[in-house]
Amino acid sequence: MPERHSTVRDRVALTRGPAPGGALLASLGRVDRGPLLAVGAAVALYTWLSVLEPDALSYNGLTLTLASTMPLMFVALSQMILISLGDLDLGNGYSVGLANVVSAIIMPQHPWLGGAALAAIVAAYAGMGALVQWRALPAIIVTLGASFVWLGLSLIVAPSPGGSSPAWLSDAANWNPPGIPLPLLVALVVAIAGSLVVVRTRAGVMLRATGSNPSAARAYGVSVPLVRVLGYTAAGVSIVIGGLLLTGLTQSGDANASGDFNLLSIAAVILGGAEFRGGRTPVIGAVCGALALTLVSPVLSALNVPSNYQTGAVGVVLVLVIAGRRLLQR
Amino acid sequence: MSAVTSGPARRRLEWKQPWLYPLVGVVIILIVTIIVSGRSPSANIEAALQQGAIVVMLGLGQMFLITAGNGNVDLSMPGVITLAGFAGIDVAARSHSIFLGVLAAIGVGLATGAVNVALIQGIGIPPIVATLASGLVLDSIVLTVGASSAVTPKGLASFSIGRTLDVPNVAWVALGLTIVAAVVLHKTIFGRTVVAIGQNRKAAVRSGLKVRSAMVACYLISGACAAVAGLLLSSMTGASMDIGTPFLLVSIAVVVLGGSRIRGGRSNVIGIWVGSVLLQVLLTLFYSLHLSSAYQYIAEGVIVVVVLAGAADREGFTQ
Repeated sequence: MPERHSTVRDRVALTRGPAPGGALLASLGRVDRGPLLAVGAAVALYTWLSVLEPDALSYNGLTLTLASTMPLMFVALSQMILISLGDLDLGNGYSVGLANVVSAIIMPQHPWLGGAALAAIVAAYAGMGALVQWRALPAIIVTLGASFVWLGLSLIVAPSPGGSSPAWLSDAANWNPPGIPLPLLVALVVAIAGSLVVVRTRAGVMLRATGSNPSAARAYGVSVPLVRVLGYTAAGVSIVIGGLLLTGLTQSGDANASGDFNLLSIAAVILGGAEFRGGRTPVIGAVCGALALTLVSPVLSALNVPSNYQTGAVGVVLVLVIAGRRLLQR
Repeated sequence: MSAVTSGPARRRLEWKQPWLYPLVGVVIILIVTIIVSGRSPSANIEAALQQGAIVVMLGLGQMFLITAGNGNVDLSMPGVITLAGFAGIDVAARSHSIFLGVLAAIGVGLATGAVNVALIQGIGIPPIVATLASGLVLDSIVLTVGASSAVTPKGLASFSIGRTLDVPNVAWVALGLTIVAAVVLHKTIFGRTVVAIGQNRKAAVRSGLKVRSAMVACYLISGACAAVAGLLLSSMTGASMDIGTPFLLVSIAVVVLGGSRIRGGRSNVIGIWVGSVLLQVLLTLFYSLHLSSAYQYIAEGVIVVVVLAGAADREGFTQ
């Protein structure tokens, strides 16, 4: 990195980042009130569920109910990075599916080949970022096109659902930490670590600067292409982690099973307080959004709402959240 | 490019249509198919034409939205296709009136379009999310009503798989819609408004064009196109739960392939046919090669991204 840029970069960090010497709490407090909605929704739904189904309160109940949050959290995190750049990933349902089938079908027999394939997914994400940046393409079409490639590759790897989870992966995904259910532990770790990265590191500051105003960021000496490619790379890593967790939890690979993750990830991020214009990175919001959305279906089930309505319910929630926010802004 | 004034030069420019390259692609793929299979692919052409006509109808709907730019796109199309198929067939079967069935199907499309545009213009939800969300609600409705599916009435089935003058009826329908779309887009104030919105929405508003009502019309058109396509598709093969799913990407892909500008402001109606034929001959080639649908998905995805990247270069629309 050229030396002469360091001062302007520091200035970006000073103006956009936390106050120098600010305490950890203060920096976390700087995250705006956007995530409150997601946090509130998660708590409310959880309370509602524990009234309907007291068993859900127990350690085992929580672990079971929230298990599917773990992959969703990472997919949502990946979506959050793209949305913060002003882009959108319409293909992550199938990219997480590819990571799922690769780790369930290839990995048990050929760990290295599987690892290389997962690395290739990350590289493909970086490539999409480069394409969107240098060709000035709409991210939705690129990711929508890519989704067909993901699905095609997944179907080649796994024409029908099957496979198994590598032992280390099942152990990790089904680990029972003392005192706190694993999904909550993961949520906590992801929320804190992610927020620290986004709020306190230079990379996080550049991500938000690029998302909120690319030309201003460029004027400050931020390399917008680099930020976008690195952002997409991080998104790819997050997708792969999500796919691995999915394999660990379901013990199998299914090319078609994870399509819902796409909408759920968008909903989680928007619920979490992100804006489609970009520039916002509500990690805590996205994590709580994922928790809340995972709780929607057990609550609806406990209320005897047919499962058919659950997809639609997520769509309605998404619209209501954005509508509510728009009305408040007026 | 400097202003073209002389007649012949202008004519030469008009020959350089953006769908020329896809057309070359079509010819190459056809030749490869004939070489690979050792016979003319005429056996599959009928099916290809039927499927291609459906895609053309969807592409026409997307074209109006994509031409209007500003992120307008209809992601609820798969939901409309599926639900319009169920609704149309169900109503037609119960009322013994194909006319009522068609009305019901188009009603589904128009209602969805109206909801979409209300969410987008009324509340300010980005088009991608609004149409995605309404599509999900449609999915839920399909899951609920889809269980009680009626048998396709004979009239609908025979029309949708029938042919007139040796050309599948669905292709005639697509052709009719294409002509209407071309006239509307190029010859009416509404059509020119849509193009103007895509070129510069602010300027369109300032010059007193009816931007908001034009957008309402675009979403209604998109819904109606998807509904007609959905009813015909379902009449051909029988209504099923996820009949619309594979059509989302291709509905956008044919617009891009045909040379419409993905950021709006310029559209090409003939290009939609070329794009659709290109995808269909590609499928025929894959069929001759005995490749599974997995490879077909990959090819479709790659083509869309590659064409898009190439088009960006051609137009240089880096902001």
